Amino acid sequence: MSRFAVPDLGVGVGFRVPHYGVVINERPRMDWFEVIAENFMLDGGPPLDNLSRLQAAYPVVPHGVSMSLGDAVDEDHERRLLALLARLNPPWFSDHACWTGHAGVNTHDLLPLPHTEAVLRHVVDRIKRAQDRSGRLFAVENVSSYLSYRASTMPEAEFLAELCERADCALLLDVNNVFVSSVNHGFAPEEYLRALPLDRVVQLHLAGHSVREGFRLDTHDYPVCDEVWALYSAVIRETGPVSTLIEWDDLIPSFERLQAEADAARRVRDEAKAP
Amino acid sequence: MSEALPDDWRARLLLMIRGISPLDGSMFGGGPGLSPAQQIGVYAEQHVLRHRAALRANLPGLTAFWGPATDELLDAYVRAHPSTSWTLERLGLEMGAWLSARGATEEERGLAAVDLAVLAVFHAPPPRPLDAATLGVAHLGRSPTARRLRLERDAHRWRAQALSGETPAPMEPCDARVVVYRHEGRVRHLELPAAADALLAALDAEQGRTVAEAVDHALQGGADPDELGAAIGPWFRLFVERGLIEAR
Repeated sequence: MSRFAVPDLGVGVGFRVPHYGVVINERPRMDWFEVIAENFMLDGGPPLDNLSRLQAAYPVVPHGVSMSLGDAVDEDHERRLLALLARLNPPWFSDHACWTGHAGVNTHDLLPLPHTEAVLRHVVDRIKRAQDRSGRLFAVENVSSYLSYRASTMPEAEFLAELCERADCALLLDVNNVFVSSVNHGFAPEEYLRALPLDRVVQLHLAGHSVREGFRLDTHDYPVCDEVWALYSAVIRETGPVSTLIEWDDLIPSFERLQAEADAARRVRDEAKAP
Repeated sequence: MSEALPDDWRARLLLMIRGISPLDGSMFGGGPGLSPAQQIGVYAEQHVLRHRAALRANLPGLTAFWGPATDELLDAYVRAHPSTSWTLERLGLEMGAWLSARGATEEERGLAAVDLAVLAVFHAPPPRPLDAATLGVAHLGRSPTARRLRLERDAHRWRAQALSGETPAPMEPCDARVVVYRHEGRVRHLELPAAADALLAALDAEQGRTVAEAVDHALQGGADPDELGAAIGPWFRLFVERGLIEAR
């Protein structure tokens, strides 16, 4: 059970451009939607109109990709994010344990952090600031990674556990990212999960990925694979029912296909709840 | 065994990811399937692909014009103008300056101008509503959902044809006053006569202008009095109907 008083929203999907019309006009069956925060941190225009209509029909939770917690605060980003949070009033908001750029240059990628005490302290401060300024619960997400730093002094799961504890924040556990990184770095995903504070999990991510020569790439362009479903089942047995989100961001299928993927997640949740 | 992290670790990674410095694996541990240098190489490859995709989305006219040369040109642009914002929507903002610096053609510069105007008005805040009853005396300004362009080639027509799947005719020399605007959620363009464009330009003043002040300003700027006098009413109606002007 979560230590945080947040709702279990059920199983949702990302709100993506190809589905704007069907979602807004037909209000299809779906428990909730996640929106990429930065896509709506705008001054105006059709995206904000669509967001208003989405919010009128479904629970909506923003998920960021550009806070760059491993680097300095971008005040323009922070101001716009706070405005979006005020508009949506979500039960939590989230972004990644990563950095995206430095000294004014942005890569727009979720670059992994060195797992050191100094970096940990920096990210803790950033998350505390985000929670203090927003007055809301922040959930930090584990990233898929393709590199490891020689300078790291602790495993990623230990880093995340310590981060959540010191910042007193929630965890958005991306199960696909755990699996992708476990293959890329050669660790056991079950051990990784055991090291995490699962009582801090307020949301789970599921997604598909690509198999490349020598590594797995987190592409969000395939169905969830069997190994990730198995990990999801193991996690949900520990956490109990937790808001779950299917990410499918490239080669985006029909909304009906996404509904089927969400139904598959619901079945796993139901099985995990069964005595 | 961990090693000390260099103070400039972020800067070093960025240079490798951006393709500015060679891939050096000395900071990385390697993994079961990738060497240390290959690990950072994954991020370098993704950097190229992500930036190309963003610029293609933001500059569809220009990249359609470039055709097979697009990737090479976009890569050169990104090396010269890396993203300095949290949003990829701003990545192409220096394209006009970059094209000018490299002696690009009027076609290229025109298409970039139209592409960037479309992007700007799509995300612009909505215009402040006008009260029809006070239109004659109110201070009016150009709406943030409208951008004025002056084009030396008919890039706006070429772009519209290319993006609709037609094979566009070669761009022709022109002296077109074009306004790109958002209205009812869609972005469109409109060619304006010179005097109408002068009238709209007169509303660019920060505090806005009344109709009478805008007319005076346009005339002082050289607008044709006969052309202006004959169509002030219809033009202002058009400006209001299309959301080109707002209350100030």
